[in-house]
Formats: sequence, C-alpha cells, structure tokens
Amino acid sequence: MQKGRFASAMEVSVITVDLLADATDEVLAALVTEDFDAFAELYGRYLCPVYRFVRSQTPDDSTAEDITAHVFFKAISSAGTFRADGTYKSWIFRIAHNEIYSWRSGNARSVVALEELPESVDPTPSPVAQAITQEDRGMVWRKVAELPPAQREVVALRYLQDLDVEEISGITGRSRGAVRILLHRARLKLRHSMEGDVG
Amino acid sequence: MEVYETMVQEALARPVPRPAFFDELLVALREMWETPLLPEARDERAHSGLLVAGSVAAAAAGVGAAGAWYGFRKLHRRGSVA
Repeated sequence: MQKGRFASAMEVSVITVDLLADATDEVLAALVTEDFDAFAELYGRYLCPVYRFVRSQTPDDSTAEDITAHVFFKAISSAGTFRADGTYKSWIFRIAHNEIYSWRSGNARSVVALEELPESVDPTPSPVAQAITQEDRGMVWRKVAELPPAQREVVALRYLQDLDVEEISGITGRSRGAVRILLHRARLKLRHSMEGDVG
Repeated sequence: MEVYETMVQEALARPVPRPAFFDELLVALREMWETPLLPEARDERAHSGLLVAGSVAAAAAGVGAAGAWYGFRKLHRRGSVA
C-alpha cells in the first residue's frame, strides 16, 4: 500500500530531473537560489553557447575558458537579480558581453590572434560543416577576427545565437539603429573579403 | 542566408568546451553555491529581508570560488587535464 501511495526517493529524483529538463529557462532561473539542480540544468543548456560566443571574441581557448567561468560565477551569484520580464538567454549573454568588455578593457589585444584557431571543435559536424574545408574554415575565422570588436560581437550574436536586432540591442546596450549599422558594415566586409577568397 | 553567412555561422559554431572544463567548472559552481552564509551576509539578509539565501551565499563566496578556479588553472595548465 505504501508503495502505491508514495514514490520512492529514486522515483522522485527521476521525476524532479524530468521536470527540470522540461522547464523553461525562466522557471529554472527562479529556482536557482533554492535548487542547484535548476542551475545545473541551465548550465547544461548555456555552457556551450556562451563558450562559443566568448571564444569568438577572445584570442585563445584558455582566455575563453576563464571568461566563461566568470560568466557563470556571475550568473549564480546574481541569480536573485534575474527578472522574468526578459529572457534568461538575453540575461546571461548580457553578463557575457560585460565580462568580455571588462577583459578587453584590461587587454590591449582587441583583435583575435589569427594563429590561434580553437583547439576543441565539434566532433559531430553538420553536413554543411563537413563540406567546408579546414582551409576555408581558417579563412572565415580570420575574416571574422579582423572585424572591429563591436562588429565581431554583433556578428557572433546574430549568426551564432540567431538573435534578432532587438535582442542584440538589449544585450549590448546599443540602440537598434546602431546594431543594424554594425551588422550591415560587418556583412559588407565579410561578403567582400570572402567572395574574393572562396572560389 | 547567403553562402558567406552560412560559412560564418559554421565557423563560429565549431569550438566546443573541453569536457574536463565542463566538469571542473560545474564542481566549482556547486561548491560556490553550497558555501554556507557568512555571518555578516546572514545578518544583512535578515536585516533587509530582500536578499535571497542562495545569492547571498554565492556573492559572499564569489571571490573565493573565482580564486580557487584560478588556482586550479595554475596547477593544471591546459592539456594536462583534458
């Protein structure tokens, strides 16, 4: 009878994990101060996107790891300040934006070092990725790295995170018009420089 | 989406964090989250009534956790823990 009425501890644990996996980011964010597993779920969802974004703005893997670590330290220490009137995604990318700018203000190197392509790459690339040669990939990485920091950032947020102008504006603190201009200029540069290099 | 845009998207999406980094950081974050409240932080929370337990604990422990992270990185330079 007991077994019929009460789930075992393991069953409860499985149910809890399932609920967290199904919960929206904003629901999880509201639970973070009470439940580390809620934060762990958010961490699982956002470590890779945040790392990729940070890596696209920094010269090497080691720097990207340190800044990414700071982003998540901030995310957990400021969890109580998250307000559900915006998305968690925008919130955590705004932290990443701030951390990158803090790092950049303390470093003269604002251009990503060309020779330091990422060491760790996705072992399961998409069909499109498989069609692009390593040489082309290096060329694209260099072209993006050569963009001014502000343009490089909006390109990463647009193409890597698929964010729209409104969201990018909220994250970077720039007006929508400024974001559009940055994106337009970056696209022109990339198109012109890459069309000449890719046959 | 134009070809160059697809290539940019693909190139930016290639890097992935090392599995060891994923685990190390999660452990550091858990330790930070679990750090008991410092007496001052507890008093402040009780006084203001606005601060939330987890965030106070995390804020109080933040410097220590970040320091521990750099200490860890110094001891285990990249590659040795991959």
